[in-house]
Amino acid sequence: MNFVKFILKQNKEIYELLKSKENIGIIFCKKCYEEYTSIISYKCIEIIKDVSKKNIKCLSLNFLCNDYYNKEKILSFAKDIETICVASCGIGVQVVSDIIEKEVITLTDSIQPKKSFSAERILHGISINNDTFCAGCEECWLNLTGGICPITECSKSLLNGPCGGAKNGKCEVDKEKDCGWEKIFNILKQKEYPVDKKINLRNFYAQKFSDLAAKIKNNIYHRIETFYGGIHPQEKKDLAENLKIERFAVEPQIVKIFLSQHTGKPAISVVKIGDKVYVGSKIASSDGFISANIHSSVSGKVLDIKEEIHPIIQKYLPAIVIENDGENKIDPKVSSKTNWQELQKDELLSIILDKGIVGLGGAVFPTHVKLAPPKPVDTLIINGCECEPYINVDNRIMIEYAKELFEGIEILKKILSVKNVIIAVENNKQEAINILNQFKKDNIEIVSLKTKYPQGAEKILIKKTLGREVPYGGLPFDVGVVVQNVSTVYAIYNAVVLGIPLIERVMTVSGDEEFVKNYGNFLIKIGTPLELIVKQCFNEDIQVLKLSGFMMGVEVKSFNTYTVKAINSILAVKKRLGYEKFNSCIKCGRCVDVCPMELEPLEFVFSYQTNNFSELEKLGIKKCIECSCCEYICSSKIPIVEMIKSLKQRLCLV
Amino acid sequence: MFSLKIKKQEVLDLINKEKFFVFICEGCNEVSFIRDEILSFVKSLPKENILYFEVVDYLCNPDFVNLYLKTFDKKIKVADSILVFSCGIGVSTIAKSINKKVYTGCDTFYITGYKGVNVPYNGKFDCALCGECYLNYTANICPITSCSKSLLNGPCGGAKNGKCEVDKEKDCGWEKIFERLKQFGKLGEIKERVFIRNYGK
Repeated sequence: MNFVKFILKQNKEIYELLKSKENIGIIFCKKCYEEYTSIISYKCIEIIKDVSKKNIKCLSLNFLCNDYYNKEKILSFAKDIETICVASCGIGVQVVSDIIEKEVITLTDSIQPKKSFSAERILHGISINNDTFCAGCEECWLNLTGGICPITECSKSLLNGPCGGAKNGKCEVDKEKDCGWEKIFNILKQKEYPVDKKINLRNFYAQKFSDLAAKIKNNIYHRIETFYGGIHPQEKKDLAENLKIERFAVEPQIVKIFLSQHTGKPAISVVKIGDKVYVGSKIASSDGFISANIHSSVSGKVLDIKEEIHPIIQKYLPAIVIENDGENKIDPKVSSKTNWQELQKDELLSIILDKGIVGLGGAVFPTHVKLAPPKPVDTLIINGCECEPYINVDNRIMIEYAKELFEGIEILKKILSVKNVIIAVENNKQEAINILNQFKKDNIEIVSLKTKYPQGAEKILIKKTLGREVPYGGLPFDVGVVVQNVSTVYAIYNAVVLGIPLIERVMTVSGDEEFVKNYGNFLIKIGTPLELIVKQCFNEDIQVLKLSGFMMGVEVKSFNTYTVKAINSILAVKKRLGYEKFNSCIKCGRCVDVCPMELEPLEFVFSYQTNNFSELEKLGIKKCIECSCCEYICSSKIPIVEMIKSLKQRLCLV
Repeated sequence: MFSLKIKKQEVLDLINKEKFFVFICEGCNEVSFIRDEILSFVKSLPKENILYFEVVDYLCNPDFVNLYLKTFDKKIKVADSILVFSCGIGVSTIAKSINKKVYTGCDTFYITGYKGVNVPYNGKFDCALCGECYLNYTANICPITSCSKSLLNGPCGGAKNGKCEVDKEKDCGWEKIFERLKQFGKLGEIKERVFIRNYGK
């Protein structure tokens, strides 16, 4: 390993450099592209202290060249230090010097990983456990040379054949190195490549500085636009994007409704075996403050209350089994109220509590709790970002039920007594934005945000739209904001105006084309057997079935389970390869680059492996929103989120 | 770090001759952002020549390459050759791991910044791993990477209005060094020092 190498300068030179200096501080880069150890930095610092015979302050940082990420740490360290020294590769030194606008002293030399390469900049990809390199020469020769690069494999970077100096297949520049052109000759012969083309002259000036600058700018634009980090997975929304919301074609024979549909305490069943229930009848009532009511989604007879596997929690939990009589008789208590404007705030809240509304974005937090914040609130954000790939639920609701949505917003406005309402939509949903603009009323602002995952995360959304930062461990109401999902607002409209409790929801059933036969946005009753949906919609050879989103969702192994309020999508996707085998971290820094919460996921992996939990709190593990960005980008394919989840659990125990 | 550009003409010339299995690497997609462009290009190619295509990541890691080759074994068997859209490393790694003809559909370009890490925020700086750091004497601006000619003993004299004679959009590195030395009040020191670069290090 050890790709980026820098070594300390010779002792004499370090002594000379630090001889006349006082009040010295060293910023040490923890190196990249190597196996994770924390020992190296201490060793180096010992040497420096020994050589200079001075008292030295130290700061070790990951990825010193990431100036955005390290800026504040460097500035606060440099405040009361006169002489700043840096031990890192050349980039780190220049970055520090640029940040503190002072001269810094470098204590290291950066060296090539391998000798006798001709090209000045030998670059490599993410993986460093191979000896294949690319020089980024701007003109790829591999089609002509059978996949072996003449620029990096030949010491002289010759393009038109061997120099003739090789002896017994070894290079004349370095006797341990194989002759690149001999390898090329052999592979062309072995694989029978057509040798009908001549190699052109190499253009050393294909990429102008302005092109390069444009590319760098493009990069910066993509990466820090809207928020730090984030990723751009393939959207794949096109499959179900233009399909109208329809009722799911098959009526379930039996529904099993779990008592824990929401965050907080499970509800308590209020029906007995043998009871007759109707569509919308209350079958379980909330237990405690953070809990919600549950209603029957079909009419029929209660058969049993027994334990089944919960699709999200993946444990055996009690569920009410109801046999569907197919009549869909609506409970007499369900009645519409068109004159909701006359109701008081408390009455509206009690309707929402009664109808069992929970947040349908994925967290399933009881809405009546969220709508009664303990602190004053001045802004309501309606979250229509839907940054997850494949899913089209909020998008379709905004297109088809825009009028209802605005009425729902009016109800929320009355409950929260706020004036400002912001609807945040990602700019890949242009149709929805256009329709919302048609129905737009005063005091409601429609914000189009750049498409980037995880744009829809609550804290990021608040930061982006209002510039307010939710404090560490805090909730949105700490900064005077309530965020509600589009689907939730629609459910609130249904509950208050039409009187229908939360008994069904829109789900996107989609996936990769080879696995899906019947896709779309369906209105599916809570408690519908998953097996029924899978049979109806997917081919038999599905690889991975994900509930509630491609990035943040849960992979289900057994289809013997039933839908709950939290599920907004059922996706049959391709398996992401390589995550089974454990590969060690190579410190490529990608996870730090993409983490929207500005954490260092690689440190969590390290402490998971070494069972060292002392630093976790300091590293901000509680801030993690489990968005899976780090796992998606990980070049070693480490299941980071799984590790973070188990670390969080262990932290609670400790 | 790399960025890619599709070799459109070359791929179009190549494509009619054989049947291909296509690998598209998206490992570095947060850096170079060309995946969608490649995908739409591949979809526009004639279907009878492109048998299958798979979007995978980190083709530069031989372990993953072996895994991919094993997983897509059946699909690869029916193809004559493999067409790879990735940087040079991905193509070479596949070429080494399979006994089939491998072609590349991309040119690889260089982007300033370190080998993988943190390009986004500091396109300004680069390190050539020359083995002998001059930054202590040049006001923390690297003469090797910021001067087009990698001169060590001062400007070549060809710069006009602070712009390099090699590329008119690029600032002259030595002028930047001069200005910064002046700012630190260290102009005298650079006169006394003569650098001779040790290429054997």
